[in-house]
Amino acid sequence: MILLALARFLLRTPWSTGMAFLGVMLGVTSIVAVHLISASIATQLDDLIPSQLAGYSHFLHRADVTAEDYFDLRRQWREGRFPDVEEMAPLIDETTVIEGSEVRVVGVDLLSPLGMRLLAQDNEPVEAGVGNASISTDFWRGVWVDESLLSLAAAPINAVINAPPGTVVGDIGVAQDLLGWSADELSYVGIVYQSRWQDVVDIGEHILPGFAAGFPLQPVSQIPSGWSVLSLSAQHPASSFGKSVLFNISALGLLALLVAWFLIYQVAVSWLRRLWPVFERLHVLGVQWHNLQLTFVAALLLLGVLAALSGLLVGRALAVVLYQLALPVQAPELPLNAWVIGKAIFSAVSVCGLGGSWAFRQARNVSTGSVVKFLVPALLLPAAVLGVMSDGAGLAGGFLSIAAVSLLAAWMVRPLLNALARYSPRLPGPILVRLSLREAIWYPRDMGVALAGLILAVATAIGVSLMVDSFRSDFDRMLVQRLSYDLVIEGRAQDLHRLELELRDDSAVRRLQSYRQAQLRIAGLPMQVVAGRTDAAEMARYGYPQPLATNEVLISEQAARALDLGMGDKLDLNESAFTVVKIFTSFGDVTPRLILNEQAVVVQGEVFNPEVVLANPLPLVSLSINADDSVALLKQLELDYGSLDFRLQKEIRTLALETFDQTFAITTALVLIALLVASIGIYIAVTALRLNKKAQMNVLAAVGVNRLEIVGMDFALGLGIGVVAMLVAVPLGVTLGWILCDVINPRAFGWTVTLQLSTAALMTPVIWGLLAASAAGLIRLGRRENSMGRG
Amino acid sequence: MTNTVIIKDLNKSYQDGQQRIDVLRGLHLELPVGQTLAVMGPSGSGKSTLLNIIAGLVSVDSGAVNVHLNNQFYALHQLDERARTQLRRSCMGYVYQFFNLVPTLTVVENVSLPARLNRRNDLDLRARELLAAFGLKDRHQAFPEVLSGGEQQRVAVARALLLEPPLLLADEPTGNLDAANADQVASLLFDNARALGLTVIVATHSEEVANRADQCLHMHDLNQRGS
Ligand SMILES: Nc1ncnc2c1ncn2[C@@H]1O[C@H](COP(=O)(O)OP(=O)(O)OP(=O)(O)O)[C@@H](O)[C@H]1O
Ligand SMILES: [Mg+2]
Repeated sequence: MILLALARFLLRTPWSTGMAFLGVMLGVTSIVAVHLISASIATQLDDLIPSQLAGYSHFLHRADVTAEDYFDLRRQWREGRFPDVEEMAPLIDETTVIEGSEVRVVGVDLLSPLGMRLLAQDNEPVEAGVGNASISTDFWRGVWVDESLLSLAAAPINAVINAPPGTVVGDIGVAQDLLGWSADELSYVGIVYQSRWQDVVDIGEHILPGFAAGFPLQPVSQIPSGWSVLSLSAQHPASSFGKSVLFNISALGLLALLVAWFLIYQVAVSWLRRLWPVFERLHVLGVQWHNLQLTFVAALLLLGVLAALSGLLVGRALAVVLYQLALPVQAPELPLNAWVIGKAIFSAVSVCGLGGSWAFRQARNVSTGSVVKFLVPALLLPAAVLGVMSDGAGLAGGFLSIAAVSLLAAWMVRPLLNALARYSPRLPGPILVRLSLREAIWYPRDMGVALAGLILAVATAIGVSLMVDSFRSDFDRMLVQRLSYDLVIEGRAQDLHRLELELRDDSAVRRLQSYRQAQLRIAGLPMQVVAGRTDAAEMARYGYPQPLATNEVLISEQAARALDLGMGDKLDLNESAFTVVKIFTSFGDVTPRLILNEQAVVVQGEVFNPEVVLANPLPLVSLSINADDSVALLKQLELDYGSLDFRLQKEIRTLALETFDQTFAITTALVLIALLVASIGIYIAVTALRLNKKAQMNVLAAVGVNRLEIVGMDFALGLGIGVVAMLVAVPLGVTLGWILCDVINPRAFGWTVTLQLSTAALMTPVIWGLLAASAAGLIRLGRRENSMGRG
Repeated sequence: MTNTVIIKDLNKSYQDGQQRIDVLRGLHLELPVGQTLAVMGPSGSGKSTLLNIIAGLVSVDSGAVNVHLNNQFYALHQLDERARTQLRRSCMGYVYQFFNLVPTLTVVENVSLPARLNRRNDLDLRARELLAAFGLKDRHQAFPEVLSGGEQQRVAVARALLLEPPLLLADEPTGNLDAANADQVASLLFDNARALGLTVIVATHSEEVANRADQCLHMHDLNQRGS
C-alpha cells in the first residue's frame, strides 16, 4: 500500500521522476553500447588467432628449442613436476616466404589430444573421403590452409580452415619441411596451463569484453628452469592490442553509470525531503523504518528496471551509430544476449538500490563512522600510487589508479565546500551574486554528491581530451617525419622487383627506396624486421640524424619494451650483435619493429654481405619514391602495374588522421553521455535546493527583487557550482590525462604519449562543464511540482 | 491630511481545487499618512492576504487599491508585476513572522539588502548604526542561523527601516517570540516608525501589539472554517 502511494508520488512529480529515469537510462545506454561494440570486436579479434593455437594458454620458449628439449620437459611433466599444466605439445609457429608470399607456418602434433581436437573443428574437406575416418598417409603429409592459400603447391591440401589469411597448419614434420628445418627443430612447447584465475577472467570477459587485457599475464608458477614463458596474447599482438582498446572503452563506459549512481542518490535525497514528513507520520503510526526504507528502495528499483530496459534499446541503437562512426563498415548484428541484458538490469538495479538506501540512511542521519572517513583516503592514496608506479599491475592497475584518484577527488568535495564556506563571507561582488555564489557552496549535503558527479565527468573529459590532443599532435609529428616520400607502393614481391628495375632508370624519380620486411621471432616474440637503404635521408624519418651502420639497429618503442632494451644495448640476432642506436615512436604499430641496414641481411638469395645474419630471407614488400610529378607518375604506373597498391603521401596522411579521429569517436560519445548525466544530477540538486528556499524567495520578493534579478541569481548559482566543480575537475583532469598518457598508453599499446597542456584541449571540457552547470541553474521545469503547499 | 492607503470594495478569493475560498469581500480602508494600523482577526481571516495585496505581492479580483507614496499616487490593481516590484523595492518595508533573513547573507548584508537593490551604497554606515541601536553591534558578520529568534526579528525590522520607506508592513512580527522579546521588537518597530513619520500596517494576534497602534481593523473569517 505504501508502495502504491510512493508510485503515485513518483507519477505526480513527473519531472524529477523523468530526470531520474533518463539518468539511469543513459548510464545503462552507455554500458550497453560499449558492451555490444566490444563484444562484436572481441570476436573479430579472436579470429586473428588461428584456432589451432587458441587452445594453448602459454608457450615455453628458449633459444633453439629442440625435440630433445620437448621430450625432457614432457618426462618431467609426467613425473608430476608441473601439476597445473594440463597438456603439453611441441609446436612450430614461424613466418616464411613460400612461392613468393609470406606464409605463417604452424606445426602441431596431430597425435596430441590438442592437435586431434583442434583439427576436428572447422574443417571443410576439399576432396571427398578426407576425414578422420580414413586416415591415409597423404593425410599426415598434407596441410590445412585458409582460403587465401588454396593454390599452395608445396604440400597436398587436406582441408580449408578458418584462419587468418596466409596460414598453413600441418603436422610438425610437414612444417619443418616447409620451413627447411631439420627434424629436430621446434619453435615452442605449447602448454595448457590451468590458472586458478582463469575462470574469473573468463567470466570477466563476458561481463566486460576486453577484461582479460587489463590484467597482468597470469603468472605460470612452475616455470621449468632455463625456459621463459610467453602468453597467448604476447604471441598475437594484434589481438591483444585490440583487446586493450576494448578494455579502455569498457572502463570509460562505466563512467556514465557511476555518475548515474550519484544522480540517483541526488534524486532520492530530494524525494525523501518531500516524503519525510509522511514517513515520520507513518513511523509514528507504527511502521518500521526498515520497512519504509524497503518500500522506498523498491519503488526506485522499479524505476531502475524500466530504465534498464529502455537503456538496452537505446544502447543498442547507439552502438550501431558508434560502430559506423568508428569503423566505417557495415555494422554487424549486435545481438542482445543474456549477458548484456543481465548486466544492464543488474547495473540499473544496483545503482538505484544503492543510491536509494544511501540517501535513506543520510536522511535518517545514520552517519558513517569517522573511522571510515579516514580510512577512505588512507586506502585510496596508496592504491592510486601503487597502480601508477608498479608496471606489473598492468592496464587494470592504471585504471585502478584513475578510479582511486577520482574517488579521492570526489571524497574531497565536502571538505572543500566547507573550506570555501568559511572563506565565503569575504566574497566580493554585487550582493545578489554574492548571495547565490554562497548558495553554491553552502549546502554540502545537498550539493556534494551531484558536484562530485560533475567533477568526475568533467575531469574525465579533460583527461581524455588532453590525452587525445597530445596523442594527435605526437601522431601528427610522427606522420610529418615519416611521410617524406611522395608515393608509396605495396604488393607482391615479384611485381615490386619488376617495378624497381624500371624505376631505377626513370629520370622523373629522384629517390627510390625499397623495403624488405618479414615477421620473425626474436627471443620467442614476433617482430617485424625491416631492412632497407639506411642512409642519413632515410634515417631522418625516424629522427636518427646519421646513417645506420651494418652493426646497428633501430627499434620501435614497443620492441624496446618487449625485449627490455635501451639505447646502447646489444641485440643478438643469429649470434651477431647489433647496437641499439635509437628507439623510435611508432604509434599504430601492432607488432614491435626493428630496422636494419639491408647490407646486414640476406635478401632473397642475393647476398649483400658475406656474414649471413638472418636465416630467413626478407621479401621485398614496398617501394617509396620521391618524384618531380608524383601524381602523373602514379597515373602512369597504375596502368602498368594493376596488381600493386599505390598511395600518395598526402592521402596516407589524411587517411591516417581520419582513422585517428574515428578511433576516438566512441570515447567522445561516452564522455558526452557522462557529462549529460552529470548535468542532470546538478539540475536535480539545484531543484532540491530550491525546495528549501521557499521562505527566502518570499523575503526576496518582499524587498523587491525582480524577475530578471532572479534569473541572474539562478545563473550565478549554476555558474558558482560550475566554478567550484572546476576547482577540483581541472587538477584531477590533468592528473587523469597524465595517467592516460604515461601509464595507460605504454601498458596498453607500448607507446608513450607526451602530455601537452594545450589550452584548447583543457578549456573545451571546462566550458562545457560550466555551461552544463549554468543551464542546470537556469532551467526550471515543472514549477508547480516544486511549490507543493503554500507559503 | 492625505491618506497613504485607500482601498475600495476589495474582493479576493482563492481557488483551491474545486473549492472557492472567499477571503476578502467588499473591504474598505483608508489609512492617513504617518498612522499605524493593527489588523486583527482569527486565523484564516485574510490578514496576510491583505498585507500581501498592499505590498503588491498578490493581485486582487476586483476593487481599487491606491497608495500614495513619496508624493505620488499608484493604483496597484492597475500596475503590472514589474511596476509593483519596483514600488515595493523603493517605497515599502516588509517584516514577516519568521524566516525574514536570507541565510547566505551576513546580518549586515541582510540589513543593507534594500539599500543595495536601490543602489544606495551610501547607506552602509546607516545599516551599521541601526544594528548598533538595535543591540546587535557585534553580530554584523554573523550569519542568521546563529541568531536567536528575537535577534532575527530585530534584524528584520532594521532592514525594513533602513530606507525609511513611507509604508511599512509587518505580518505578525512578534508572533514567534516570548513576551519580553515581543515587547522589544514591537517597541523598535513602532517607536522608530513614529519618529520617522512612517505609515505602518501590522497584522497581529497580540493585544499588546494592537494597543500600540493608532487604529485597529478587525477581520472576519468569511468561510467560518477551522472552528
Ligand atoms: N495561495 C493561496 N492559495 C489558496 N488559498 C490561500 C492562499 N493563501 C491563503 N489562502 C487561504 O486564504 C485564507 C486566508 O489566509 P491568510 O493567510 O490571509 O489568513 P491569516 O489571517 O493571515 O491567517 P493567520 O492568522 O493564520 O496567519 C485562508 O483560508 C488560506 O487557506
Ligand atoms: Mg497570516
